[in-house]
Parts: sequence; C-alpha cells; structure tokens
Amino acid sequence: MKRKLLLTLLLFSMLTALCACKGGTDQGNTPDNISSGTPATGGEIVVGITQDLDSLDPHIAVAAGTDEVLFNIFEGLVKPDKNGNFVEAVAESYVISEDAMTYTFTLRENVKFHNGDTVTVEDVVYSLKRCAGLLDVQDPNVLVDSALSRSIAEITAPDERTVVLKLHQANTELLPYLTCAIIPCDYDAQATSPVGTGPFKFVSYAPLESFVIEKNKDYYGTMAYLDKVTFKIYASSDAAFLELMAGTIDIFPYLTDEQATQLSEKYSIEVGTMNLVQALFLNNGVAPFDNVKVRQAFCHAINRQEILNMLSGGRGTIINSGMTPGLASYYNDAVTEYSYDVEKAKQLLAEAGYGDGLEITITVPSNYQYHMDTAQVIVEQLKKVGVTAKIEPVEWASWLSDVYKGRDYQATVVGLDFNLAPSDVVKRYQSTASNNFVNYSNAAFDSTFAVALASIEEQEKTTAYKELQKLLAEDAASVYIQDPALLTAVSKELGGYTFYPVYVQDMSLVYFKESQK
Amino acid sequence: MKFIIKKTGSLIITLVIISFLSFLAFSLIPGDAAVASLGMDATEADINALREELGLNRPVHVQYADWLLSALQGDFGVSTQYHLPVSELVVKRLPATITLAVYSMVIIILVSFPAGLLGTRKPNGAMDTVMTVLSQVGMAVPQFFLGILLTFFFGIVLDWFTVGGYVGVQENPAGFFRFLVLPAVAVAVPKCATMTRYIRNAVVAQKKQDYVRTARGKGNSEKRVLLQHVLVNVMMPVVTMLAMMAADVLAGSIVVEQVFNIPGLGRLLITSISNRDYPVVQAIVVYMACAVVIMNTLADIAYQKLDPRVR
Amino acid sequence: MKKRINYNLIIGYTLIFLVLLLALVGLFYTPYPANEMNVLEKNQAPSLSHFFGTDQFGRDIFSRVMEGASTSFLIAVCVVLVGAGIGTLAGAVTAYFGGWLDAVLMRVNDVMAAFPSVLLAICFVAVIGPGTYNLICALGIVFIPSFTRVVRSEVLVQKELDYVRNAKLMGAGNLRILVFHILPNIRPVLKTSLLVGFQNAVLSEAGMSYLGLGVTQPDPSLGRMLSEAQGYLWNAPWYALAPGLTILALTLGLGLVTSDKA
Repeated sequence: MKRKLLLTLLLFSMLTALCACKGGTDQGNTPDNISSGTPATGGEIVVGITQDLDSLDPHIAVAAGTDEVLFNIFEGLVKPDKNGNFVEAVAESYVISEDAMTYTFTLRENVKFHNGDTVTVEDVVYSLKRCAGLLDVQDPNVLVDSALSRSIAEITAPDERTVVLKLHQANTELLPYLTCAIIPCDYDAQATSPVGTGPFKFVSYAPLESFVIEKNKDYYGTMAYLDKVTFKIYASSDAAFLELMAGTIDIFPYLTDEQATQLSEKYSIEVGTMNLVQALFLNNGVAPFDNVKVRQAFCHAINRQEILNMLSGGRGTIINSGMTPGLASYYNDAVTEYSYDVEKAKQLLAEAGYGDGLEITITVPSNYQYHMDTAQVIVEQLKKVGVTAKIEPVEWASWLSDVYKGRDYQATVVGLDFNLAPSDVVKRYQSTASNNFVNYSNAAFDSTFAVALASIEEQEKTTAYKELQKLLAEDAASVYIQDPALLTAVSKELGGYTFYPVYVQDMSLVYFKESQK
Repeated sequence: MKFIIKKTGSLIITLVIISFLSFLAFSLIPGDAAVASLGMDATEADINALREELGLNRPVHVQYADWLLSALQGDFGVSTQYHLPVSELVVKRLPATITLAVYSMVIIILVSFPAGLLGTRKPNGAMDTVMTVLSQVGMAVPQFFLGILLTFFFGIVLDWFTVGGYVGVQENPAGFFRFLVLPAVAVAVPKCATMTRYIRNAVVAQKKQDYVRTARGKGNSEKRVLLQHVLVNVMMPVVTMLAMMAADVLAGSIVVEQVFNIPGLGRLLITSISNRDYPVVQAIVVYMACAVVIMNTLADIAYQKLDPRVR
Repeated sequence: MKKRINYNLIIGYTLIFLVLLLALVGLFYTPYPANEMNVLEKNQAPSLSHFFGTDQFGRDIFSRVMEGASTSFLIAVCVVLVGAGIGTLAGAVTAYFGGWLDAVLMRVNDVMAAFPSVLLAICFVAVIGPGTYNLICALGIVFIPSFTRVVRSEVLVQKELDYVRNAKLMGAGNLRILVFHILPNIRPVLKTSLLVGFQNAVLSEAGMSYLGLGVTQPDPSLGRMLSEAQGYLWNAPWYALAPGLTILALTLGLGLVTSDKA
C-alpha cells in the first residue's frame, strides 16, 4: 500500500501547489507601447527566436527566420519601412526611367561597413551580381534571386557614386528585390563573421544557442537606442515561453494565443500580422482536386473563423484569394467569398461524384506547429461534410522536395511569404511557373499576369492584379485561409517595437522607456 | 596483451561497419541536402550545381571513402543547415553533454552505493522494503516525465532555478554548472534505481556465500565483512555495469536535453534530423558509436584484468 | 515456509489492469471523441464533465489519455512481438546449429545491443521517417538483440541436456526438437524477458513520441501529449500529469511484476 500512498501524496501535493501558483494573469492586450515613454539610449535586451539561422551570409540564408534577424545587420540599396514603402539605405537616391528599363542609384557618401571600410561602387556591383547570379565564379550555395537574374541585363558603375541597372524588359516592381544586402566585395568570411552596413553589427553566433549583435556607432542614419541585443534560440515556442514566464526574455514574437492569455503582467502583447498567405493548398493537377466543384466544396466546408478562434483567439485576417491586405493598393477585397456552408459543400461534393465520402491526405511540414495545428482543425471540420482527411507530417526538406518541387501531394497547409512586389505572391499561379506547386492553370490568368508585370501604368497594373485575385478565388485554386496574427510579447519596460509588412524584427527602433530606468 | 589487441581490432572493425551502414542509410533517403539548403525559390539548375559542389552525384562508396579519409583527419564536412564545419558544431555542443553525463555518473555512483547497501543489513526488513519501492518507482519513471516534474517543482512551485535558463559555460560558468544539476538528476534517477537494485541483490547474494559465513565465524565485525570481503567481490560486476551504463546515460541525455532546452549533442542530433542535415547526423552517430563501443571495450578489458577466468 | 502475501504482484497487476482497462475501453468508447475540438471549451481545468480538463483545442484530455494508452499498448505489443519473434528465431537457430551463421549474427547482435535503444531507434526513424508503423518497425528491430541473446544462451544450455539427446536418439528431426522440445522448456525465461521488453517498449515509445519521432498528430499518444503539455506547465499542470502518471502506472506495474519473477 505504501506505493499507492506515495503516489497519492505526490498527486495531492502537486494539486495544492498548483492552486497556490495560479496567479491572476490577464489578457494583457494593452494599447500598443509604440508611442508611450521617452526613449532612453543604451541597455541590453534578450529576444527569443525559435528558428535557428541557416547562414550568416545574407545571400546564402533562405529561411525567413534568418532574414528576420539579419535585417538588423544588412541593408540593400533601399530598405522597407514599416508602411511598406522603400526608403533609401546605402543609396542616397534613385531614379527609375520612364520606360522602367533603367534603374539609376546614387550611393550615399561615406557609408561604412562594420569593418571600417567605406562602401564603394565595386562592393555594390559585386553584391548585386552575387544575388543575381551574374558573377563569373558563382558560389553554388548562394540562392540566386530569379527575379533579379531574369530581369537584369547589365549592372554598371559609370562613376564613383553611381550604379546603373539595365533591364531586359520593363519592370516597375524591381525595387523590393534591391533590398538584397550590400556586402564587401573582397571579404570571404561572411558566413562566420558577417559584415554589413546596418544599424547593428555582428558580435557572435553559437548555433542552437544565441546570435548577438551590438550597436553600430558609425551608422549613417538614426542611431539605434540599444547597445546590445541577444537573440536566444529555442527548440520550440514552448521552451521559449517557459523562459518568458521566468522573466529572462524581453521580447518574444510568435506567441501562441494560449501563451498570450497566460502571460505575466511584465509583458504587453503587440499584435501585428505575419504577412503570410496561409492556405490549404490543393493540388489542382490530381484527383479529386482537379475538379473545381471539389475545390469549391472544400472552400465551403472549412470554417475559417473557427480556425482563427481556435488558434489565435479570433485574431488574424481572413483572406479569400492569394494576396494579403498588406499589399495595400493591389489587394482586392471584392472577390468571390465562400461562406461556411456544410450543406452547400455536401451538395457540391455529391455533384462531383463524392457523395459517399472522400478520403484525402494533407501533407504538412511538421516543423511548423502553427500549420500542423491548422491542419488538425481542418481535419475535424472536413469530417462534417463526409471527408476523411489524414495528416501526413513530413520534415521540411521532404516537403520541399516532394510537395513543393515534386508536386506529389493532394493537399498541404503552409504559409507563403513574399516580398512587397505584388508579382511575388501571385507569380506562382502562372501555368508555366516552375514553382506552381498547386498546378493551377488558367489561360486568362497567364495573360492577365503578363499585362500586370509589364505594365508601367500604375492604374492598369492595379486593375490587372485585382483581376488575378478574382480569378484565383473563382477557380478556388486553393482554400485561402488567413494572414495569421503575429503576437509578440514585449516587456513593459520597452518601447518602440514596430511591425513591418515584411518578415523582420527591427531592433533599431526598440528602446528602454526613460521612466523605467 | 593479446586480448587487448584483439579487442581493439574488433572495436575498429565495428566502428567502420557502423559508419558505413549509417552513411549508406542516410544517402538512400529522399529529400537531399541540396534541396534543403536552397529552400523554396531554387531552380533545378541551382540545386544540381550545389549537388555537384557537395559531391552528392558521386557513387556512394566513393563518397564514403572520401568521407572516411577526411573524418580520420577530424574533418566531418560542412553542415548543410548552418553552413559551418561539422566538427566545430559538434565540439561546441560537447561541454553541455559531457558535463551532463559526468554529473549523472557521479550522482549514480554517490547514490546507488549507499542506497544499495542500506537494505542489505536486514533483507526484506522495513528499510529494504522502502528502498525496493523507491527503486521500483525510479526504474519505471520516464526520464522526460521526471524532467517535467522537476521543472514544475523546483522551477515553478519553489522557484529555485530559472526554467529553461541555460547559460553557456563561457558566459557564466557558475550558472552553467548550477543549471545542469536538475537535468542530471532526471537522467540519473532511473539508472540510480537500477544500480541500487543491482548492488543490493549482489550483496545479498554474496552474503549467503560460505566465505562470508567463514569470515563472520572468525569473529570479524559485520562492517568489516561487508567492506573487506563482500564489497570486493561485488565490485567487479558493478564496475562493468557502470561502464555499460555510460551508454544509457548518453542516450538519456538526448531526451533530457530536449526537456530542459539544453543546446547539447542530443538537441543538435534531433534538430539535424529534422533539417536533413546528414553530415551532422552522421558525425554525431559515429561520435556516439565511438563513445559507446570504447566504453564497452574498456569494460571488457577491465573485466578480463580483474577476473582472469574470463577469456 | 509460510507464504507471505505478495504485495509486489498484487499492486503490479492492479496497476497494469487499470491502465489496460483504460486502454481497452478507450478502443471502443471514450467520453468524447478524442480528436473532437471545441472552441468554447479550450484549456479548461479538471471538472466533472472533463476529468482531466481540456487541451488547447478544447479536446477532452481524459479521452485522449484513454486513446493514447491504447495506442501505447498496441505499439508496445507489436514491438515486443516483432522483437521477440525474430529474436527468438534468430537466437534458437544460431545457438542450435552454430557455425559461421552464429558467429556473424552474434557479431551484429553485439554491436546492436551495445547501443542504447533510444539512440538506435532515433537513427532508424531518421532514415525511415516518423509515424506509427515506422516506429513499430524501428523499435521492433532495436528490440531483437536482447531476445536473441537470452534465447541463444538458454538454448545453448538446453541442447546439451539429456532430454535433447534422447529425442535425437529417437530419431526426431532438428526442427522438431527445437520447436517441440527446447522452446517449451525456455518458456519461463522468455516470459520474463517479454515483460521486461514490454516495459522497455512502453518507455521507448513514450520517449520517441515525446521527441516528435513517433505517433503523429493529431492522434493522441501519451508521450506526445506530455511534450504538448510542457508549454502549459504554468497554468495547467494537470495536462502533463494525466499522461505522465498513466505511463508511470503502466511501467511501474510491469516493473513490480517482473521484479517478482526475477
């Protein structure tokens, strides 16, 4: 009996203990702290991240989670601001020719790399060529940006402060790609000790542990407030959260809704968006999704509001087509909307010949818990219309090779990120696009896309992009779900945390509030 | 001497076989390093160029021979995930894992000897029963559940340590050594329990032997009998068992590192598996194989030295 | 000698029985469908309608523990069957016939046995990928050596005994001797190692699922639930406690029963 007693005691003491520690934590959704408090200079903070860096070389890194932190170290000719505009960075000014065939950049004077060298036109030309795959000896590890490599005909430097890009065809949307990092041309230790021009410089990196940066005191622009920022790397959001509760992290993005609700009073929660098109992507090329009725049935069967309620406390922006409201003027909010309608879904399935039920497999990259969770909710919802869905979790690498490249799947839940060029997010739906992993094919789409891309007339361009979104929605190319809410815990001692319409964590704007110090 | 040479020979053969088999297995899996490393926007041509660069287009045995030659010189290639040398990655992870393993072994030795002997004075007496119960529970509890319980009690209820507050050994040595105590306890408890049980049973069995009765008969005190006669005889299998246990401790730390978010070898292994970072996985597998096989060989040799009957 | 009441056995069997009952009932009936989500009942504390509360999707934790227990049970049984089946065959054949086959297989066996089972299973899963069936395969293979070793050493002893010689004299074939004479005689030993193997299988399955290398979501698994519960340790410790104690009850029960046999 002693064993039983021991167990009972254990259980009992835990339960009492837990009653004692259940503190009153509130939703903490206080008004944003961006404007409040006077900024103080100095201080060190710890930021929790859950994705490890894949490289310190900005041209080799492909993970969004890496770009997000490297943003503090590197800059391109231009860089995005929080409103989605492009502001001059290494370039002082730029001119896009009337026919959109030539981009001319004038470099800022005396921009210094973190190693003390001045940025020269050679560095800029080298960096652009490296990104565009135009160097004579190209490192195969560098991911060539296909938008750059296809558009750029020639990069020249007519004088010490001017860089000219000549294009093959008119393109007004190249600016977002010219955020590609400017790095020194004769420096080969980028992967171990990166050198850029940004407001912070690199201090140290230990894989699985931390990435540390400090203030760049020679920065040409507005100086960062903080002296030092440590990005601490966690195996999972849960692990980071435990430490957040213990109070050793100052900022933690990608909080789940549950975590947000149990956060301590030390933090406020900032709500932004992830700038992702999250969807249940359907392979239009294979049964049963080659039938538009089945795709539409799925759109009706999935209750997107419930997904939002379940995963993010109702936060997030529901989308009906393949673009997010973040792309302000190009976003079309008047596309076909598939309301949640079980009966309609059943009827459409029956019309398509699947009245007796349907079995499908949803392949999900298992490293993205958010997508895994979304898929779990979807599986439950599909049950109600007689669809038996099975989740097949795969490693990211398998997802890339089998689903994304091999297109060997039925359905998948994933979020697509994109830069601020409107073409970036929809170009994959061209029937011939190499990354058209949903196998979408519509001649009208292809021709409209060509118009949108080539157009130098803003009005025409906008109309074309809106038309493209309409087509995607009508054809139910996939079940578009949402642009997920991004919840970030920010210590109440800090101010200035700012959301961008792209995937970045800008530390140069963060500061300790004067009164708190 | 001949025995040692023979053992060392079979050790090397074993290691070569293990490294080849794991190399073969990892090269057969779909979803290769080039795809993983270049991400979503890469074209087929980019991927092929990188494959060529990484030598992934060559036959497996050529790749293996190449790998083995470099590995012998301490070069395990470059991680496809981190774009850093594998040996550097692995070496940086070692302090945490080794400290954890050493801590655990120390705990096992310090706890299981006294605990094992505690009940042997009066087998099946009250003390013995208590120890038996404790060791039964200890053996049954999964290490990761124990880790979670410890986190809950000491981290949340008592607030004695910072949950997940691992610090690197260079950053803060004191904090590093303090933090690893609880994880070490989580790794050690099941093994402690097994060891305690083992020692207890061995001692009880020895005590029934004739020579113990003889020693007692000669008027030796119970303590003296225990220390001078029984323990000497129990020592040998116990030491062997400890050496064998080192492997389990290593395995246990893989799981426990995950629970306490310790950036050790285990976490690197799990992370690398999900990133398909096979140069790293391969290196860790071989490294752990080395550790395990060498420990076993040492145990064999020690056993043979201590007991000439074993050949 | 007076027969004492054997508490070890009683408690051991009681614990196993309780978990088995949970698992068996879980196969046919759970208070709520284990995967059914409910937005309105997310993260609830234990109550009369939800014994162990609900998880982040509003799923009933008690129902999930029941299903998780049956999954764990089934996987452990399969693993032991695979391991014991192949292991017994290999052990018996190599010991009985000896020769080069014995030498080679024992070499392989020693190498495998030297590795901690979790480490070996992780390597297998790294190659074949996670999932219930893959996990059974991986653990099954990992468990072969221990059975091979036990059976082999037993058969080596038994085959020198008189009854085997007699059977041979009577003209019985090798296979017949092995199956009908020797195997029944090593049953007691096999039974103990089956129980030990079962305990190890339960622990390994939980460990692998905890690491995310076993049973895949959304299907409940005790190990996986523990890893999910870790993030809620602050506000909902019962979430971790429910699956954790279930595993503990099962392994403790098995431990008590085997320790009595040993």
